[in-house]
Amino acid sequence: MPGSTVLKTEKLSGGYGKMVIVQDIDFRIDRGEIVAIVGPNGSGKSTFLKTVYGIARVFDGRVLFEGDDITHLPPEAKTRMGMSFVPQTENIFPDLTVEENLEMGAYIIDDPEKIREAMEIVFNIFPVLKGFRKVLAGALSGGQRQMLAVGRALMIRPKLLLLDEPTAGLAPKIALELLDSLKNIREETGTPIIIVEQHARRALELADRGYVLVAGRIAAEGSGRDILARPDLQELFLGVQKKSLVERRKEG
Amino acid sequence: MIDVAVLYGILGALINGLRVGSLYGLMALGLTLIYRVTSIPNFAYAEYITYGAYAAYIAMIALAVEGALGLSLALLAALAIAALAALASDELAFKPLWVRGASPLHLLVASIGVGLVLRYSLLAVAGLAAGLLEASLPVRSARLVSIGGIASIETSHVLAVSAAVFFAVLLRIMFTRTKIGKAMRATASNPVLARVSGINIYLVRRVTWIIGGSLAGFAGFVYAYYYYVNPESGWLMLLWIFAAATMGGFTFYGSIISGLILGIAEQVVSFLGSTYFGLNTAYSPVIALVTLVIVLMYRPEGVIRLEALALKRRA
Repeated sequence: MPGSTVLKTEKLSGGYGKMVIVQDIDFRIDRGEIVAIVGPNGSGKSTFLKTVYGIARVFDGRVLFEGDDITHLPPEAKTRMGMSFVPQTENIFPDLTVEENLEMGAYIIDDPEKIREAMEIVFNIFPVLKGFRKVLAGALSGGQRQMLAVGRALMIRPKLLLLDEPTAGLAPKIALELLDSLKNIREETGTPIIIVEQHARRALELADRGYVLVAGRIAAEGSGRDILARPDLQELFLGVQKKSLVERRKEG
Repeated sequence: MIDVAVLYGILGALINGLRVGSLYGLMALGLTLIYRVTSIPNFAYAEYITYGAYAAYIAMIALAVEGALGLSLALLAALAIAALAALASDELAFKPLWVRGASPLHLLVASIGVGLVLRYSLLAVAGLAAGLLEASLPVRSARLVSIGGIASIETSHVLAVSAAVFFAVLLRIMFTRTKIGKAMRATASNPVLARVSGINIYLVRRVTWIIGGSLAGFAGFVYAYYYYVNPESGWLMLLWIFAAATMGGFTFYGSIISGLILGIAEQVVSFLGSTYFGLNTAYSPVIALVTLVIVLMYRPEGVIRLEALALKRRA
């Protein structure tokens, strides 16, 4: 169904300065989908997301958002078109209260009624934030900060949400809770989500589809279940490798 | 036994302490605003005050309008020129450095340079014309109430105190209730995320400098209304301005409260010292700075810290 595609990239290459990090990426996300991008460290997952959003440099290829070519638009313009990006770090305003953080997320919206509605939706998805409305965001725990970061991005009622490793640095239990809450986002808002994730297994279980990036190129794509079922990929990308490394060290 | 004249003297010192303290606080407000939004400890800030004072004087002389209208026009000139000086120093010096990744320390050093340029440009111009090296508004602060023939309340007292309180409340409301004020704090807190959220951080920055500069202009106007101004007037107050802002933990209310503590301590203690111990009143700056040191020793976060209050609300 070509009409249902929200965003797609065609042969997209991107990176920083003169360094090409991701190459020839053909990617697609449809309405209502959660798509996970997984892969080993340094495979270019985050760079791909930043290239799409316009933070990293585009070398070649195209980015189409709802059919429009947005390849070379700056990040602010993409926000105004309805793409919301959650950076991996420094993704909240620590010196503002939780409520003010959300208001800043809705900065481009003038109608106070719409802002209030959006805030209700965020509080429905992350009820814990509601109790901390008047608290400075810098005083929140790691998990709450990530919820706030995602909440801030939801304030413009985006047509597409881009999450860059939202669970980085979180305790495993908190990370799982956060990933679970992404399902609530879909239920509450229907917003399609691209998630770059290190917890590859969890992300693929959650996602409708996934892409595996290795050394800047797509090594595999398909439904989350299919990718998880491939033994060769498990070996390479899903944490088994680390274990074998430890075992090897023990042997040596 | 305490003499009645001494009591009146103390009262007079208190009243004058309120005026000079409010002036310190008023001057610290704009410094605080600029520091909070741009993280620049701006040593050139005092020059905007001098520029404002001179603009008020020159406008009043040039337009030759007396009375309330003359004062209003002088005030407008002070606001405009000081805002322009502030905006120009950011656009030409601080912003280009900040964009290239200058740290607050670099910016501090740069601000000393900007201050030098502004101060001695003014001195060079003022040296050309007679009467400009020492200026004051032709309409002077007038006595409103006389207390026992020793102490008196003047229009400048009322102006300084009411302006300090008014602008502190106004800035606080702006910072916590308005969209532009929140955008200022957001820009200060995380400029990259502010941009991602669609905030025009350069516009926010310009508005900050214009408001901060205008506040300096207002303070300069009040200064020239009571004191004589010379091209180094602002520079000579810089230590007190920074003392008030630092002691106030770079908050608006804190700046005013600290300014008042400094001003009153200075006036009252130096009055008592000269009355009972024959101490020269020239020591009064020492008193203000000792007060600063004592406060910072026991409350390093300043006399008030809104962030700390906000954190407490969590409980």
